[in-house]
Amino acid sequence: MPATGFDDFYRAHREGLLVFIRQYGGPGLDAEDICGEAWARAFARWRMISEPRGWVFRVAINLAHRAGREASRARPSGDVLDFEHAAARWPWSTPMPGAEWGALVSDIRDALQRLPGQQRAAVLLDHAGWSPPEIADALGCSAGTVRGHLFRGRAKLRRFLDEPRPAAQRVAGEGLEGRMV
Amino acid sequence: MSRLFRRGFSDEDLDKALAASYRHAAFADGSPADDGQIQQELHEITARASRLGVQGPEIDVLEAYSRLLGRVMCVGIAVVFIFVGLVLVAAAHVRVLLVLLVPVVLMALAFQVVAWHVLTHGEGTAEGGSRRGVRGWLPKMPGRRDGQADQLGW
Repeated sequence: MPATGFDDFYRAHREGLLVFIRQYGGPGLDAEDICGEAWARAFARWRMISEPRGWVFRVAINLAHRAGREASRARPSGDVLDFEHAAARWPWSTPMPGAEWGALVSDIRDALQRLPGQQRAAVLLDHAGWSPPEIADALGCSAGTVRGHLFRGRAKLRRFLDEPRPAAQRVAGEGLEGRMV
Repeated sequence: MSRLFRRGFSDEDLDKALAASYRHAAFADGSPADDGQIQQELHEITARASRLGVQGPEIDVLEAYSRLLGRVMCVGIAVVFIFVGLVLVAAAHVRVLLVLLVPVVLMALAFQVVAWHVLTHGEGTAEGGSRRGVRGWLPKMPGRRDGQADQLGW
């Protein structure tokens, strides 16, 4: 099934979608499978899609919602991030920070999961460099709504991250100072 | 929160935390894919796309349903205010009250049935269906532009 331009499009946005869904869906979701399904649907409808980037992100978000609902019914909460696996693949010359880095990423991931879906998507896509109109295209809302989501989402994230944590987790974060990535 | 952020989380701190999350997500499963891996993935996508016979819903049905209901609620609140006024007038007349109440309840139930059917049986959903029918029944979703319905399979 020929799909002119699909290969280039896939190469350009493959990693962006995967990284987005990994953050958007949380650690318990099979991001690779969700992205694979979204890409397959995009491929099947390639000629009918006029704005493919927003389309494929939108489909992936919806698939993540559905998978999240199914996963929440199937498993108890309390999934943890796989830091050992990440450490094994760390690409920078400096050693990957240990538990303190993990505590920071866990905190931001937990905080992201507490946001409503559209606010979470808006914050993540904004951080990835998307403009409000581009985010609006992916989320199916207006650019003004996206700006509202961004403002409220970021404010909530700051508040969530400011909340005091249990003592055990604070100890894990003691060594973070000056080691931000 | 960590010592770095104890005095309050600024926008800059938040961006750093998001960057850390991004980096973790980007390299949790390996370094950037090489050309061979991407070609393999493209083959898998092609195969997966060919297996997509009747596709599942691209639109998250519950989300679309809630947005639809949210829109209806705006109108509904206005209707309720009018209705309450009429009820107050008709309070002393039970039969008048019933005449007002029954159609409203029936219309609300009918809308629920129609909305759910449209959202679960429209084109692009597992059961397929008529796109024209869907587009005829549904109000335009907030922010949804013309033509997007086609893209999303409505």
